[in-house]
Amino acid sequence: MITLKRVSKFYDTNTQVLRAVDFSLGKGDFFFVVGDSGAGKTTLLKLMSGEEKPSKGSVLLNGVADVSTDSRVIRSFRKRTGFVHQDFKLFLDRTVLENVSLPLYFGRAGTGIKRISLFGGSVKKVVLDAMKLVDLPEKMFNTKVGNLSGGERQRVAIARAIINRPDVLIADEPTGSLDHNHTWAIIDLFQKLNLKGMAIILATHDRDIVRKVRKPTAHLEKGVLRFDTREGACLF
Amino acid sequence: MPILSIALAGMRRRFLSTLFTLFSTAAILIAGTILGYWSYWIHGDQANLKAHRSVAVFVSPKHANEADSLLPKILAMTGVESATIVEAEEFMEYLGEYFPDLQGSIDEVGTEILPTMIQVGFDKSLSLVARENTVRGITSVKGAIRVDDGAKQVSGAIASLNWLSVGAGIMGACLWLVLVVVSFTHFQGVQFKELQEIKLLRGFGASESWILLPWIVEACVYATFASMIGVLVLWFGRGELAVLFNQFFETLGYERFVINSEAALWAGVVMFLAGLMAHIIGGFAALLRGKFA
Ligand SMILES: Nc1ncnc2c1ncn2[C@@H]1O[C@H](COP(=O)(O)OP(=O)(O)O)[C@@H](O)[C@H]1O
Ligand SMILES: [Mg+2]
Repeated sequence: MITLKRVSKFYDTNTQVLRAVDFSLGKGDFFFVVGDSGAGKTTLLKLMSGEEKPSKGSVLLNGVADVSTDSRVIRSFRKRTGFVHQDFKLFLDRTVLENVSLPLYFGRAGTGIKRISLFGGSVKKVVLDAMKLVDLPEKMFNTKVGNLSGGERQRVAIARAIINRPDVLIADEPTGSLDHNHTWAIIDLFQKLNLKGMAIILATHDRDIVRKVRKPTAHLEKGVLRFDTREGACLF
Repeated sequence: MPILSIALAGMRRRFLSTLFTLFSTAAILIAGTILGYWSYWIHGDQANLKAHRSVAVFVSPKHANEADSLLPKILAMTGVESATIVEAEEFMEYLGEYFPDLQGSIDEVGTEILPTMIQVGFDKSLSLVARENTVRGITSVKGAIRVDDGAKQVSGAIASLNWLSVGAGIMGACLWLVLVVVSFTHFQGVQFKELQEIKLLRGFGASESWILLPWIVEACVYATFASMIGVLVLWFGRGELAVLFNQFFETLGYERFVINSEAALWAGVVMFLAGLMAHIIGGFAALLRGKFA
């Protein structure tokens, strides 16, 4: 679904974050991306979602469209992609409902999830379902995200990323702010979603997760991506 | 309606810039409307010029006694609203008011030397071409020796006044362009301030039109409130404006300038549309131009 072909990324001419990375994420795949902080994990994920453009090489969506060219294809691809940002990218001045329901405005065909109209319609139930999945209590529905704790915010961000039942979930350290129990609840959730066919790529620091959840792992080191298909292999 | 709350929430977030845009929109629209009124009074409605609405017909001394019989003939012509014989006293009064010396000398020789004069008033709706035909018709009536057409005499002045109104029109159009620029700057600022938000929405697959849609709602809000402010200001300031305008219009023989409720309503509609168009064009241009996100 997402293919990176010899992708390099420079933020400025001296600092090369990624060097000729080849990577391919197929339907129903589950990958970990590990690496020290500053290794380029976030950059890699942003390249996959099209938020960043490659300096060299190409990022192909469904094998055809290059993210740097066709905006229509990118838009329809994005509707089928969920992204959990490392810094959440939530609107703190808006309620949980308003944050979580945002992707529903853009809809997506074939999921049974109705696109909400800008001119009316309630999304309360869909949002409550998503909140339940990430273990957010129903009463937080109308709470402003700014009043939530870090862990709660992170779960709001996850709920928002999965509310549209995306084909691909790109999660950048989605458990970074969670306590032990919630971490595993979320990892369980991701595995369940993966079983239902959602492709997942998950960047993390957490060795425990990588060791216990036996999935292929990509190691980023000094901008070079090394693959380890031995599930659960952890080199660090 | 989510769209409305999205737009209003955005406006609330950048409250100062919203207020500034609202009031500058109102100010520009009011200034433009004042120019528009000016232009309309001079040019748009020729009937406002009194000279256009009347001619003086002088009756030959031979037919002076039959002046009364001329009246129905003149009244029967297209567009003639009134035809009255100007009595000598009335004329002398007029002279006394504006040309007292002349009045004095005529008084000495006696008012018999004054020719009989018929004041003909035209219908307001009479077109310029029809009016000319009617004037020609009056000229050919037996007994009328001279038709004094005030409009002919001031036609040179009117031509230059028309240029004045064209100038005012152009200034109005320029003001509208200024409004477009104000709006462009505003929405470019919005884009800059909400860079993260727009980026995120694009990340969900939002199209350009989706991003533009709340801005269009915002444009509607500006247009609505600015034109409401505009109508209120013009309505409560109509007296002052009329005094100012009439220093010019009355001296030149125009009808007194007034803003009635109909004119205020029209101004409101025009201000709303002008404001809306300017903000939509400004927002669209900002989105096309500033590919920040
Ligand atoms: N927008 C940016 N501009 C400049 N440098 C950046 C930017 N984003 C990331 N970097 C740099 O790129 C490197 C990799 O960052 P990142 O992808 O966030 O790593 P990770 O997510 O693995 O911690 C870091 O050295 C970081 O400082
Ligand atoms: Mg990171």
